[in-house]
Amino acid sequence: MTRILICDDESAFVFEISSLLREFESKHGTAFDITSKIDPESVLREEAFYDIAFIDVEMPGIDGIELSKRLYEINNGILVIIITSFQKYLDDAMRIRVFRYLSKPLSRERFERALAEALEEHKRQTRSFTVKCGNTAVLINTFDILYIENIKHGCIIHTKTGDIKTSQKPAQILAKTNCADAFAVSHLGITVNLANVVGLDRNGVVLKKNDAETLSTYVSQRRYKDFKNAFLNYTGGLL
Amino acid sequence: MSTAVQVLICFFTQLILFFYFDGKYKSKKRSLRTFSVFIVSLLSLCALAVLTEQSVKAYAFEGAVVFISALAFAFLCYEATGKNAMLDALSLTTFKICADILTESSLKILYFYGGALISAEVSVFLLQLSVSEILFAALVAVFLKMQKPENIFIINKISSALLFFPIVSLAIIILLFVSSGKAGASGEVGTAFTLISMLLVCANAALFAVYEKITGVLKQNSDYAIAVRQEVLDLLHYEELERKQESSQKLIHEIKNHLSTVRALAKNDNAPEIADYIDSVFEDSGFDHTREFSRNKLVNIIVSRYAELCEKSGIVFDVDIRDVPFGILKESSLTSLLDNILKNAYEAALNSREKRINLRIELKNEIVLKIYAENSCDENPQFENGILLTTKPDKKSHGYGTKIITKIAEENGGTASFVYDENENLFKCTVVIV
Repeated sequence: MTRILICDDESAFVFEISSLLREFESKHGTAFDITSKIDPESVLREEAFYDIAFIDVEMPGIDGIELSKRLYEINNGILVIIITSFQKYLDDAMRIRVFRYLSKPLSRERFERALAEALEEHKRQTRSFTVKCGNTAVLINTFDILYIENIKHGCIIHTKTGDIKTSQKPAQILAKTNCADAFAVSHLGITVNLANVVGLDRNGVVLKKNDAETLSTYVSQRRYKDFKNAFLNYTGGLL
Repeated sequence: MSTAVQVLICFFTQLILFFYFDGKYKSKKRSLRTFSVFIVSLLSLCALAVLTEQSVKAYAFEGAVVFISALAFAFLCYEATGKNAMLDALSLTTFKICADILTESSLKILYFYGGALISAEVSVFLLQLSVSEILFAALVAVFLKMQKPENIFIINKISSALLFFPIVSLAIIILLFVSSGKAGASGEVGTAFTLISMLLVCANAALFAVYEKITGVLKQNSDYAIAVRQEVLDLLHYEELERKQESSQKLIHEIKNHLSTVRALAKNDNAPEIADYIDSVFEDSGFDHTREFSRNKLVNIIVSRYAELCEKSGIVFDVDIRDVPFGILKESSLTSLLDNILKNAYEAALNSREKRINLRIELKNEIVLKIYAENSCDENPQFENGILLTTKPDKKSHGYGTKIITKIAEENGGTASFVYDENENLFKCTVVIV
């Protein structure tokens, strides 16, 4: 069940978003675990884990931007949707990673669209599968895969948390991910997860391991064009 | 008669070489030298064709002459590098020899089954030369096309239909040949038929050349129109900046006047009147209407302009522009790109029932600038080769918007894509630049 937080000092607005979420639930046959808050301080005190958060910018005490930053510290994968009645550009808000901005008054159509996109992104980020690693089965988050290296009797899955050696071949792993389009071959035996590519030129591909670490892998001249096209299609959402 | 046909075929070979290099390289503009190379090569080929018997040795000699002719064309008449000239000469020679051998082998099979119909050996030899020449021309034409990937996209239904002409020519030549054999025509008549057929092929080749030329000119005109539109957009951009500067100066002047009035009111302790006056100043239409959508001033100017237009036309305009490095694009490119995306979206949304535009600019994977615009659009637009065709009645002056968007995206190492969502009646434009 997707955990959703609504935080706005205006209770009427919290109620409005909550109603829209309930309508979305019945319309799309989904289920949400909704937590409504009018006090941002209480959200931070509880340190609860949420998947998606609707946060108002203008709140007394801790504002929406600060609250978003703190929520990211608790759960880096949270998708924050900022709601604002400001007509002017929010410089601070643009600097932090926010999934969508919605302006008041809320339009049902825009709300539903933003929510649907957030759910899709959440699904993408939390997609996982199991692989056999010796006699044990290991659960892998697809988003955590950096690249898959083909070896003689199987492959090594290089993830953000470590390497997993399995007897299954890269093609079998890609089929399990259910999103093979998010992967592209950079050179013989190396299949890269495009979701984690943060640098690309003819010399190589840079992959983001975490906020502080990156690693590089080679891209062959012959495959560079196809790899770049796959990357552009992936980032453009054209797949 | 057979000598005339052989000379004609040699001339045809020279023409193919000439058109190949003319289509690929920049000419050195030395007509006399080009003419001399053409004639010397032609004479060598003719001498070889007339004096040698048909054999493997003859193919080798012919290959050598084609190779030297190609090198001479590349070096003396066109601006080809040594490596390219060598590669071209080798490729053309290979094509020529392959065409000869392939034709000879194919016709041998044909003679084996239909030998009884063929009486004149000279005609057989000339038929072989003609078919081989057409095959050589076709191989060179395809090779040239493959080296210019942009030309592949020019091929449309009409030019595809033109590709049938060489096939029809071949069929006519064989038909004439077999008919003359059946009718018991003399070798001279058979040769005459072959000569006429060769002329037909020449006419077809000329048709091809004219078509290619016309296509090239049309493409040039289209590029020119795009360049003109970009120039106009640049001009509009600078006019807009000038207008903004003027309005800023006017604003400073007005602010001075307003402050004088506020000072006068303050001297009389008229606090409520000061508040009313300040409110009226805020509502004053003389203030700059450029809204802040991003940290980039140029983007703000362009988006503000369309936000105003949308407001006036009752179009819901949603904008979400993140803190992205617009600096990866030149100002003129950014202006053209955004203006064309929003212009297309605005014009389509204006004629739709739902009337809405959604513009989103964000940074994906830390390095990819993504510009996404979707707009309501009731009619399904027509696409050809992934390029949107204009739906406006005046097709001559419109339809360049998407071409400019694609061109700028590709020039900056990215791509542009246009999709119509029939379920939601939405037209979606995505530009990604890395």
